[in-house]
Amino acid sequence: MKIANKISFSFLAIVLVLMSTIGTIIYIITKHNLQESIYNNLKTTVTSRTNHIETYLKMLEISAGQLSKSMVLENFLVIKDKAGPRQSEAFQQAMHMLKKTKETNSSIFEFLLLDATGKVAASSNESSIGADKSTDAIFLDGQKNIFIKDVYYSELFNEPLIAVSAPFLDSHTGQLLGVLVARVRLNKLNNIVTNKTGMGKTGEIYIVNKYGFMITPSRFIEDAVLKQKIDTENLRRAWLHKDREHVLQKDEIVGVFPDYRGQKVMGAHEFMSRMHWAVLAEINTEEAFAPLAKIRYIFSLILFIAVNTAWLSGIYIARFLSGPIHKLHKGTEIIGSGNLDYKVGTDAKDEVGQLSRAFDAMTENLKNTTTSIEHLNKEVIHRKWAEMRLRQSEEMYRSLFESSHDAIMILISERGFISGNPATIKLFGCKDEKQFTSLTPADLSPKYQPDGTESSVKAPEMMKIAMEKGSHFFEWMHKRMDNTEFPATVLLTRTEIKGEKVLQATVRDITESKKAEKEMKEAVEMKAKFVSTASHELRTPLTSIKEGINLVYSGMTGPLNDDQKEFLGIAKRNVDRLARLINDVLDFQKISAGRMAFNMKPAGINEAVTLVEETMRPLAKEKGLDFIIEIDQAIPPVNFDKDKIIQVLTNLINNAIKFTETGSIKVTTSLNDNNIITSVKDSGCGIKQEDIPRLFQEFEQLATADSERKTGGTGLGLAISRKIIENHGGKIWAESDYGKGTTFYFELPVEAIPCQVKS
Amino acid sequence: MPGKILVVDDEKDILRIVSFSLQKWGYEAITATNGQEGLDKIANEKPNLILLDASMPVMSGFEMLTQIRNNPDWKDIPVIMLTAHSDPKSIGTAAGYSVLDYITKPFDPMELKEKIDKALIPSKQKV
Repeated sequence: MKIANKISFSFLAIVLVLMSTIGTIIYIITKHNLQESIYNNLKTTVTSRTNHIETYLKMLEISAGQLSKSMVLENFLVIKDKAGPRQSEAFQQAMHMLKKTKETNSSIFEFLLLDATGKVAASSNESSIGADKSTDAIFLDGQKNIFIKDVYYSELFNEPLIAVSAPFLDSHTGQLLGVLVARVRLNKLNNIVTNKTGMGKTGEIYIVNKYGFMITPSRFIEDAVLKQKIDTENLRRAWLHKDREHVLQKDEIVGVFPDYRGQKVMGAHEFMSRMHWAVLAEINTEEAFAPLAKIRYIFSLILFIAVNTAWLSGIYIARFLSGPIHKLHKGTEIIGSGNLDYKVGTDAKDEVGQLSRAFDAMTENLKNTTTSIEHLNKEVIHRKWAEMRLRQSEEMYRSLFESSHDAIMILISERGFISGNPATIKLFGCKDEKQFTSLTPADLSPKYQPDGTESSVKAPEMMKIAMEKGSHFFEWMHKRMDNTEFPATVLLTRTEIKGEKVLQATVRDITESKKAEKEMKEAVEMKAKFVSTASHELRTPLTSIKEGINLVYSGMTGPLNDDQKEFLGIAKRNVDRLARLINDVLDFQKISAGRMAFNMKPAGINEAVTLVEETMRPLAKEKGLDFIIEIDQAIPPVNFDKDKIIQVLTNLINNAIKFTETGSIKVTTSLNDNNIITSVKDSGCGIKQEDIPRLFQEFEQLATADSERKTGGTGLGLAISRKIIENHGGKIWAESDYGKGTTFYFELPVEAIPCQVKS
Repeated sequence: MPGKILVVDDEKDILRIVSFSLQKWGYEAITATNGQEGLDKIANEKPNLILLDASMPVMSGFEMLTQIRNNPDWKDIPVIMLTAHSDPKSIGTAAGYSVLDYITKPFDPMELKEKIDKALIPSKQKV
C-alpha cells in the first residue's frame, strides 16, 4: 500500500474512532439527561395531578359534609313524617335548598337526601324522590362516615358519575336522620386529568380504578371510560406500590414500557389509596426522545463532513508528504539508470528536503568520482593513441625517408648535415651516409651560384630565411662528389628533433625539367618564327596572285564573259580574304610574342569613336540599321594607342553590323571610377551563354545560322582585340541575351600604362 | 540526264564553282549549305551521289552521314567527301562510314570528274 493511502486511511480511522467515541458519549449523556428530565417531568406531573385530584375529592367531601349539617334539611328530616302544613313547608324549603346548592356547582349532577330507611326524601331532581337506595353503598357506607363511591355508570342518566355520601345526624341527639348524597359528574375530574399542560402531543394522564378500568377518557380511544381494561407494566407497578411503605425511588415510579395500545411509552404512576385508583401519566418515547433524533441527525451530518474533510485532508497531506518522496524515488531511478546530472534536491526545509539535498550531494560526489575515472580513462586512451600515432608517424616517416626518390636530409645551421636518406647518398654520389654527414652545404655546391653570389655566402642566408619563416623554397645549383653540377629545387623546412631546431632539406634534381623547359621555350620561339616566316613567305606569291587576278578582272587583258567575270570575282574575294587572314595571323603572332609596337599618346576615346563611326555608318545604313552614338563629353584624354583602339572599335562594330539583320547598333562611352568604359551593343542574334568564354580565343568562330565565313571573318579579330586591350592594362568582355542581342565592353584605365612598347 | 548530284558545303563560293563544273560535265547539281538542309534535299530530290564537306554549321558532314547510313532508303547512296581536313583522324572517321572517296581541298577538278564519272557510269547506263 502506498504511503499516501496509508496516511489517508490512518487519518480516516482516527477521525472515525474519535468522532464515534465523542458522538456516542454525547449521545449517551444527552439521552440520559433527556430521559431524566422527562422522568422528572412525568413524575412531577403525575404527582401534582394526583394531589389535585385528592384536593378535588376533599373539596367534594367538605361540600357534602357542610350540606349534611344544614338546619333546613335537618328540620325537614325531623318533621317529614308528621303531616301538616309545616311538613309541607319544610319539604319545600329542603327542596329549594338542594336545588339552589346544585346550581352553584356545575359538576353536581344531583343531590339526594335519603331518610333513615334509605329512601329518597328530597332531591334537587324531583323525579328521584321516593327511590329506594337502602341497598346502595351510598346509603350503607354513608351512614357512618363521609364516603365516596367509585365511578359507576348511571344507566338511568347514561353517564359515568361518582357519588359522595355524608351521614346526616341530629344536631341535638346525634341520632342518624339520614344520608346526604351528591352525585357528581366527572367533568371536573376529567379536566384535572386531561389537562395537556406539559404532556406534549402524545402524552396523557388517566385514572384506572381498582378493577383495572379507565375511569377518565383516553386521548386515543373513544368511549373508554369504564370500558377500557388496562393491564400494563405501569399499572402493575402502581398496584405494587399501593402500600407505599417507603418513599419510592424514582426508577420505581417511572419507566419505559408498552401502553394499553401496545405503543412504547415512558410512564409514571401514583397510587391513590383512598379511592384505590392508579393515576398514570404516559408519553410516547418517540416524542420524548425527538430531540435525541435531531441530535443524531446533526451528529451524522457532522460525522459525514468530518469524515470527508479527514479523507480529503488525508489525501492532501499524504500528497504533500509523499510528493517529494515520490520525486526523490523517481530521481533515484533516473540517477540509477546512469544520468548523474539529474538533480532531485528541493528547497523544502523538512526532512525530505534535507534528504533530497543530501542525495544530490552524494550524486555530485559520485559524479565527480565517475568523471575523474572517466577523465583518467580518456587520458590513458588518449595517451596510448598519441603514442601509437607517434610510433606510426615515426615508422611512416622513416619509411618515406628511406624510400623517397627525393633526397631528404637533416641539417643544423652550425654543424652541417646530420642525416641523409638513400636518395641523398645516391644524388650526390657519396659512398655512404657517414661520408655524407661529414660534408657541409658548401661542399655540395659550386663556388658560385648562377646569379654570381658565392655559394658559401648564399647557403647560410637561405637557411636563415627558412629558420625565420618556417620554410623556404628556392632553386640551387648543386655539385656532386665527382664535381659535376646539376640544378635543383630545395625546400628547407624548420622542424624539431628531440628539442633541437633543425632543418629538413628536400632536394630535387631538375636537370630534366630545366631541359624540357628550355626545349619548350625553343619550340614556341621556333613556331612563332615559322608562322611569321611562313606568313611573310605566303604574302609574296599571294601578292602576285592578287595582282594577276586584278589585272584580268579589270579587263585590261581583254573582255571577259559573265562566267569568267563571276569566277574571277570569287577568286579575287578569296584572295583578299587570305591576305587579311595572313595579316591577322601576323598581328596575333606579333602581339602574342610581345613584338607589337604600341604608340601610347594622350588621346580622346570619343575622337576614336567618331573616326570609326565615319567609316562604319555607311555599312550600317546599307543594312538598314540605326547607328547610335552616346558619348560622355567629360571623359579626359588618356594615354593609349589610338590606331590600335580604332582597330578594336572597328572589329567590334563590324561584327555587330555583320550579325545584326534589323534594329540598331549603339556605341557608348562613359567614365567609371578610374576606367573609361566603351560599349558596342547590337540587336542581333545574340550568343549562347556557354559560348561567351570562347569568344576571345583565337580561331574561334561560333556556329551561327549564317556562317561567319560568308562575311569573310578570320576568327582572330576578337583574340587580337583582347590582346590589344590587355596590353593597355584594361579588359574586354561580352554580355549577351541569346536571340536579342549582344553587348561588348572594353575598359581602359584612366592612367593607362603601356605594358610593352617596343619598336 | 546522266545523274543528279547533291553538293553540301557551307562555302557558297565552293558550291558555285563545283555546281558550275558539274553542269559543264553533264550532271544535274543541287546544293545545300549545311547537313540539315542536305538531308531535306535528299528526301526531296533523291540524288544519285553526294559531295559532302565535313565542317559545317548547324549539322556537320559526319552527323549527316550518320543519318544517311541509318536510313534504309538512303544508305546505299554513294558519298564522296570534299573537305579541307586532311588529317588522318578525319579520313579514318570518313572510312568508318564507308564513303566512296575522300578528296581534300584544294582539289583538282579533273580528279573530281574522274571519280564522279566512275561512280555514276553504271547508273548512267541503266538510264
